[in-house]
Amino acid sequence: MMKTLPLGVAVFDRDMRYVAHNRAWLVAHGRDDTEDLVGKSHYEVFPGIREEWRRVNERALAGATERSELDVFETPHGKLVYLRWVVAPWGAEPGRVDGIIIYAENVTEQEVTRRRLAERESLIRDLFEKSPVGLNLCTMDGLWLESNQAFCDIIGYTQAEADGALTYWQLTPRKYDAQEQVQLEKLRTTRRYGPYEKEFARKDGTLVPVRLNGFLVEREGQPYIWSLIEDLTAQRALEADLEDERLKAIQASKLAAVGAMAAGIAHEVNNPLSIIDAYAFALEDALARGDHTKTDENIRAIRDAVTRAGKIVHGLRRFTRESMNEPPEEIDVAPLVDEAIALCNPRLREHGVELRVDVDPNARVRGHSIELGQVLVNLLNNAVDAVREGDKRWIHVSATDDRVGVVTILVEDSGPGIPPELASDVFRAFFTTKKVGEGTGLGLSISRSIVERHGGTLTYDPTTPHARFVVRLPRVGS
Amino acid sequence: MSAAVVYIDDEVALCRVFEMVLGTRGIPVVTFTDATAAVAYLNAHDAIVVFCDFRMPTMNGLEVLARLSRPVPFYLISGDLSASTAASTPGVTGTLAKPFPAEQLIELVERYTTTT
Repeated sequence: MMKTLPLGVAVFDRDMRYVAHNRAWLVAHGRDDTEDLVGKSHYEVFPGIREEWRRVNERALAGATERSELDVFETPHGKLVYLRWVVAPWGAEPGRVDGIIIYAENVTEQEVTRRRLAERESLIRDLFEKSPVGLNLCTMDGLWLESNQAFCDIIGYTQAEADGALTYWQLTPRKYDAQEQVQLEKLRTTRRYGPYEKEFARKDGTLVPVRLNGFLVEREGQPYIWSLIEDLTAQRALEADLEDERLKAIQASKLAAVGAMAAGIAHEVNNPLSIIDAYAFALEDALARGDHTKTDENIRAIRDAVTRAGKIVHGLRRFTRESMNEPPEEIDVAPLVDEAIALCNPRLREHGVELRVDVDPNARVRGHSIELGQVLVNLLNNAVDAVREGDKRWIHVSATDDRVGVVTILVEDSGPGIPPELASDVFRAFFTTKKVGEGTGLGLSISRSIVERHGGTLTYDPTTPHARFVVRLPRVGS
Repeated sequence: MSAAVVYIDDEVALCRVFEMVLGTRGIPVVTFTDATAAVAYLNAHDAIVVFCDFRMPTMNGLEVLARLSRPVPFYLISGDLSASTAASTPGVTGTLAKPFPAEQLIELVERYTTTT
């Protein structure tokens, strides 16, 4: 019977010599299960036996029964073995102790499993508590049940204030109602929701931008929602900084463009002022002589000059206005081109550049007219620089709408074009072939970034003998 | 043909108005919007005084001056500061900065017409 017991059993005499043992005893002690220990001394078989166990055996020999629910020893091979044991005296006659019986159960496997589970649970708990991502479990009604520290930090409530007390809906601004419905539908159909960017109202009343991802789980037949919540505050601040930098770069390049045009613009304003003065003088002159025949002509000349000066000032004011984060609008390309040309006209005239304009009056795009106007001004200014030293001086601006998806604006000039080895460099920031002080090297790189933000492309076409820059923008149907 | 005041400016309205203003004062005036034509004229005719715009498409005011084969009182007119450095160029009598009062040009003209 003893041989088949699942637990190890050994019977010892008063000298701690083996009287009997089963195979499980050998197994429990990590020994070869064919070994026969009968007649051998326990302390010779296990010379490293702990002092403490020797004492347990001595107490048992003195009549005591002792037990341990969990004990551990190291085998000669360095393996840890977990045991449950009972040590009790035995006697052939009542009141006599002839030796002891030790029952030992090897519980190593159970113990290792238990320890592994405990470790995993503590790891999960750590992950939950210390995760930098907010984690939260809620009921289908949105009542928060378990929140980790990161989530509490995001919403500004303590765990005690949040769990079992606050609901998702209490902290969700009403403006997200429609989007919430979309996410709930997603959760119903796919058992997941997100990535969903929204805001929570913090305890202090401020709104915190977050990104949510989540999934459905079931606990005892009840559905719950696990959510992962990321705080987007830092990301948003970084994005705002980048946007700020971008707008500053645009503004700087715009001012550089204005610098290039300044002399021409002064000329363009001072000419009409001269005209106004001279015609006013002529008018006074004639009226003093009682001559009324030229009055109309003089007044018209004055008003024409005022219109002309007004146009350039208006154009300049529009151009230099800082572009803000305004919503995009639909823009007619023709007036956009006209305004850019009006700004560059003084330079065109100064250098005797012949301008051909060929713009589809129906071409429309979506975006920011100030920014796109700047792209055209940059391209036109570059074209003037490219042609002004040449014998033939012309610039051709055209805009076509393919009626399918793209509006193409071409700015071509009679200059020699860009050498092939530089063609890929011209869009790089700070690249310039102009003389020191004449160009910032930002015009084309900023122009390209503007066009790309409008969902388009700005490229150089090397296939013509002249310079040709190509702006492609998504068209807007009329 | 007697000498005239010559006004050169690609701005046609200014040519017109100075023709009118000087003409009503009985001062002979010839205007050009094209610098090349003005150079050809000046090399073939006497002029009382020349007023020439600095910034013009085909050539600037100093290039006009350089092409003249004989000396003549020569005033550069400009709408920006680029003429101020040109003022010290030999042959430039003076400068007028746009916008200038019409009286200023008339006074200068009268200085030459009354001494002639």
